[in-house]
Amino acid sequence: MSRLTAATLVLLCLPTVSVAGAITVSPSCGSPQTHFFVSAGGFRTPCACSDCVPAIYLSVDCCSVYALTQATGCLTDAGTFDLQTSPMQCGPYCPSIFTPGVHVATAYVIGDCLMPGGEYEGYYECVQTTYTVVASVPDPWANGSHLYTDIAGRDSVVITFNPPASCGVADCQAVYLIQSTRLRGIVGSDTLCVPMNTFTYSHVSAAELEKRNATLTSACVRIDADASEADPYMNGDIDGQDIGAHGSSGPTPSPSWTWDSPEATSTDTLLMEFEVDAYCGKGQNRGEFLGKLFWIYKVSPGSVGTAMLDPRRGADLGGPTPEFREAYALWLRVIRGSNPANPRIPSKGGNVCP
Amino acid sequence: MTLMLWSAASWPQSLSPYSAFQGLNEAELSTVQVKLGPVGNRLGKEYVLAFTSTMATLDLSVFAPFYRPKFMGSYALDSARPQSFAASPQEVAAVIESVGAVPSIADGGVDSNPGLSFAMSVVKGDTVRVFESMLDTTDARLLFGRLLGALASNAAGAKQVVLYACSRGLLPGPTATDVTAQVSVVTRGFRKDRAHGQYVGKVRLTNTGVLAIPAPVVVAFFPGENITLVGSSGRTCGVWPYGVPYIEIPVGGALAPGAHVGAVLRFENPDDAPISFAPYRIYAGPGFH
Repeated sequence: MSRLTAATLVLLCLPTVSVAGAITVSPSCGSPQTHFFVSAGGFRTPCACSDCVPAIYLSVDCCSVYALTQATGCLTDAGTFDLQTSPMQCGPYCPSIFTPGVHVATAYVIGDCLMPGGEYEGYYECVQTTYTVVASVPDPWANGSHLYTDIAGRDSVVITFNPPASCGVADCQAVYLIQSTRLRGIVGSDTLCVPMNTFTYSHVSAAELEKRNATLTSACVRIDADASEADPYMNGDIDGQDIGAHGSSGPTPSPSWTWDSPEATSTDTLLMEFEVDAYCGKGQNRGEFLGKLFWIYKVSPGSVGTAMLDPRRGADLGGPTPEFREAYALWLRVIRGSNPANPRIPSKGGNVCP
Repeated sequence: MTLMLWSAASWPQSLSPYSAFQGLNEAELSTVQVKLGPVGNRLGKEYVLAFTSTMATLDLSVFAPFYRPKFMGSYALDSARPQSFAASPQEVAAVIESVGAVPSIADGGVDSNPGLSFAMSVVKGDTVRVFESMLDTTDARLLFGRLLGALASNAAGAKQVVLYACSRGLLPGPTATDVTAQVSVVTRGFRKDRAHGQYVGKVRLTNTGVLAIPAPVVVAFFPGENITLVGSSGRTCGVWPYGVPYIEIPVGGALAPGAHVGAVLRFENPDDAPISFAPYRIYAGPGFH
């Protein structure tokens, strides 16, 4: 019985292509704070792979950042990983994978398959690509909010995500802004969740409020979108319901912006907590979240409301909070019957390892 | 983006009775603006819907001097981008006549629990006259019904009104009937048609029930993000799944028990993403979707 070696390849299902696996790093350039997402997949498998023992390994420079093993079966995709949050093991002489310079990301699949004759034969495929780290990049949220006060003294806010050219944010053909909201009543030192159907919204029917309330999570968070909307975007393409414009990121970026103007009165002080996430809705990186910003709106009985950036939480380029993710998934399930789009596994990208 | 802030000088001015808008001549009709806006606590993406004559340019600033001080916060959306459409002077006249027949709207009052502001402006001579009625959900539903009747020949306008009413759960009539349980659906595809660059699939509906399914029969489903159903008949609002495209499947007058009908579905899918058909719903007969 011969154990696994790279040289003993078994018959693969796609023998005519030189390489089927792919790897991408998105964005391909950023700062040490950038969330680099590595995706790898599309690896070939033996035609009969049910008796294989496969594994996919991902490394950056000489750091091992990910390993996906499977007891038996076929394994073609590693998935997508945020290098900022992936546990990694680096050799003693390896610099940080976020040190300014060019870094090499490598993914390889290795497998050992039980053949009809009772022997094992191995297969192997390796692809790699590079990404660049620079000392710093402009912050897309640098001018992320502008406050306006109307004639009645109430605040409204314009949220803007303005990515720099080429570096720091994944390429995206349409950057949308999705907002979650948590409405809480402040009674003394306690805070209480205020469900939609217990608050007075006199411009919508009770049935409509029930529909919206069904999108409220146990953490009192909901996606800030009408139940009837075609999408949860604040700056989408739906006339009237969406306001603002969606921009793009990449070599020739354009800003994405939206506007909001909460209005609420109550016998208790109300606090609305908003999380705005920039989301890639079109292009090869569709499904990726590109950053988030937090703002709040507070209104006391008998006074007009005040909007401001959330002093407790700063904007960043990481993915949504767990509370947002839960609300987003719930909105999609309740309103559409669908699930969040997964970032796409690349079908091309990278080169065969030397 | 431009946010306008109104001058506080010289307001509020007095609102006019509804009768000031009845019997307008052609020139006056061409200056009429109609505005719908939310009142009270807001949630979600509220906006103002307005329309005016095809001969006029929308200018909501004329309403500002007539704002009711008690509801100033509700008027904030006037200064943001309103959603608008155009109507002919004849359609505007039809709206005025039809709505005027509902006393609880034409009274120009404030209902006990108002949620919708219905306002109109007109220029008579050199004077701007403004009417406003603040409606509860019952009157708002009546208003939407009157607007849809008067704007029946204005497809773009009617679409906007339906969306505005639907997003508040205030459609002035029933939704179409869900007949999913008595329809068997088989799909084939969906593959890329390289000649057109579109994805193509087939859907076949069979009436497995004992009753005929009345036309129109529509299939509603969410094909996926950034995927467009070509030739879509519209987008759902009042029926689940919400906010998804639907397409009418031609069945003649009805789909008889045991009968089947098929259709080709085409999609724009620039990301080459997987197209999903489930979950879907089949709706039949008259009603909103």
